[in-house]
Amino acid sequence: MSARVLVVDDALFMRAMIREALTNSGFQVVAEASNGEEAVARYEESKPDVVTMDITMPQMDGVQAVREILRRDPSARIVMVSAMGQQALVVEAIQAGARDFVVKPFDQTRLVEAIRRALR
Amino acid sequence: MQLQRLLPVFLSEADEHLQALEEGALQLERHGPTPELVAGLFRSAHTLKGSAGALGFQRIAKLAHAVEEVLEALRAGRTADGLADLLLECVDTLRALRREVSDGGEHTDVDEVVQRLQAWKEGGTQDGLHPVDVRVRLREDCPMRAARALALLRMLREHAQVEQVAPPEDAIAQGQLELEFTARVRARQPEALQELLAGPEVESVRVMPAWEARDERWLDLGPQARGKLPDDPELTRRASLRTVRVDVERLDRLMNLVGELVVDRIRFQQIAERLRRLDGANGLAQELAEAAGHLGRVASDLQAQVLKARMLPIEHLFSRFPRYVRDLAQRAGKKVEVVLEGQDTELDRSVIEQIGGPLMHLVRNAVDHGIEPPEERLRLGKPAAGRLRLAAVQEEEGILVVVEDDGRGIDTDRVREKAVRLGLLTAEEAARLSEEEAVELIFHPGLSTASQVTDVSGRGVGMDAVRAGVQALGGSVEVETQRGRGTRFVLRLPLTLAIVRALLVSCGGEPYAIPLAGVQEIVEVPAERLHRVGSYRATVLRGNALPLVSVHEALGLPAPENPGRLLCVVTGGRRRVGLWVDRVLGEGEIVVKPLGSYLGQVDGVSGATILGDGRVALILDPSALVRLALREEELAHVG
Repeated sequence: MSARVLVVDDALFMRAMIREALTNSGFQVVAEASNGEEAVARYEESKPDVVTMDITMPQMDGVQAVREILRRDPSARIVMVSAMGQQALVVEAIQAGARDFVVKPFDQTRLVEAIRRALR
Repeated sequence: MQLQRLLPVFLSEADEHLQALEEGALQLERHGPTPELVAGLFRSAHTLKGSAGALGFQRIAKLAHAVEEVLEALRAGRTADGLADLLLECVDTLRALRREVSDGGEHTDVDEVVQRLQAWKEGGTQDGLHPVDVRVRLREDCPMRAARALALLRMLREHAQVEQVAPPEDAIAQGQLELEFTARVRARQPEALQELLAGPEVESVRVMPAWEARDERWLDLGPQARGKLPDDPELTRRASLRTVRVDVERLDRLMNLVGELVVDRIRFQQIAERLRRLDGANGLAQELAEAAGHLGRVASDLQAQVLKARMLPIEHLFSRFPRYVRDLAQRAGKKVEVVLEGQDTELDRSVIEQIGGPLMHLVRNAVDHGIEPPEERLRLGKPAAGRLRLAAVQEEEGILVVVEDDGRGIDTDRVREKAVRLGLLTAEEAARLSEEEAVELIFHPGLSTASQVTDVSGRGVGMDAVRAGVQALGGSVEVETQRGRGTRFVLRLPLTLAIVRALLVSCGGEPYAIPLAGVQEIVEVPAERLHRVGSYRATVLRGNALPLVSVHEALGLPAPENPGRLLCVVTGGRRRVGLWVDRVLGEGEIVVKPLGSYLGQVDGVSGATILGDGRVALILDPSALVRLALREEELAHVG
């Protein structure tokens, strides 16, 4: 059974790109969210196996969303999707419990690999 | 030659590290491997290895290195079973190697013990987890190295227990990471970690047994790993500059010179006194007196300081006992817990050097004869492990050292019986003795109450040697014992041997000093109370015969024309003799100087001192005088 993914990003373009990359690699994107609050809600509804999480988003940012999701489900597996120059935030997210990260711009294989590692 | 000069430093440091290793091994046995303890042991082995290597003592370095590896395995989670014994064996071997450095020879085998150390490392861990070091090197082009390293560690945690990370995670999070980090982990399947961590950002992953990865970085891994290592290297450096090692001979010489200064001060004061009498209240005499007074205060201060510099904490002596007792107890099949108290009590190093033997003897007796075997103790309702307490306390006049056990106490019936059997007393005399007097019999030469000869205590070298040894220092030994409850020996020791309180007497016009510890009383004896049998003279003092001797007889000098009529009663051991003196000059502190090599060892004389008027007085040794006098007495009996 293919792993179910929640994709969180405020940019429609990024969400589409990630969806395509994952679908091509046999993952199933079960939900999308464009900000942190929404991400938490979608996570509750769809209970995905893994989340890709953008960092800079309106309402609730990615790091806060990581904390919020892990508070509800400590076993949640989250991969951060970060822009360059956001290392401090990525570190914060990992310390909060995120499992892996990719840095934009990334090629598809990096993302897929990060998700596979997070699922291990 | 540089290295030649460093050798003494190396040797004395090596002794300290060996001592630390030994103490650590004993603590390990008792309390298990705490991080501080293991770190301390590690540092000792590490330093020893370093300096031995620098001086070319390869076998010491090799063994110290093996010890280091074993400790690293321990730190990484190897269980401590059997390690204390192994470490103590290493200490013994290292001591033998250290002796070879100072005495020559190359007979000690290190390979055997090194092999056993290596075998030990491979042994079990508590939980089936293997301690390994995982060293991860990131690629040069890895973006967000800190985040990557933390993500990898996060992943590592899913598969292994991560115990330490270098650099620490906090430091990594703050960006203090080059390309490499190392994690000390315990994993069920260490082989699998390599694959787990591999990835496009990772240059290499090395997984190695923890002790191989031994790395000085671990020495500085955070408070729990660092143990007592001071944080600030600057601080350490400054602390080490605050102390210097001084050859004890220099201190002795310094003490000698201070002694002369004290004498000069007294002379100055006497001259000032005479001047004052000559020209009355003349200002010059007054000034000289004041200057002499000041010189006096400075000299006494200096003397006190030098005396202090010669002091060592009794720990230097005590610290060897836990190991000693452990070995004795093991051989005798007993359990003994050693309690040390007052270890920082300070004593002159000469005293410390000389009470080692007597203390060892008391401790050996306590373990061998005092403390019962565990089964017997349990039957008696005592804890299986006996308790041996060594304590030191400073009193006004000196130091008390207590050796106390909670064993069976001294069996005075057996002591009496034995004294009778050896013909020391008749059965009636023995029966008449009070308990205290019966206990005192143990100090009689040749009487030992052990009913068996053991390889621990042997037989016969007895308490008399202990008492004589302590008395030779100007001290005393007392014993208290309670059947079934234990025995306590109390040693009273002088603070120093360099200065003693002495009675100054004159015999045949010559001054002599007699240490006060050996003087019982001064009595005047009328001629009619003197008895003479051949050359043997004696008097009766309060109902007891007192053999008499003159300094001249004892030292083999020509007899003076007017022998004195004062008797100085001196004691040595349990016996006493009366020593003829003309008159008593006074009493005071004298600085003991060894007899020059041109005089050599003179029986009956323990040294010399310079009196305030510049005259030299021989210091008489009371116990030797007693010995000499009684020998003559025996000869007289034969004649």
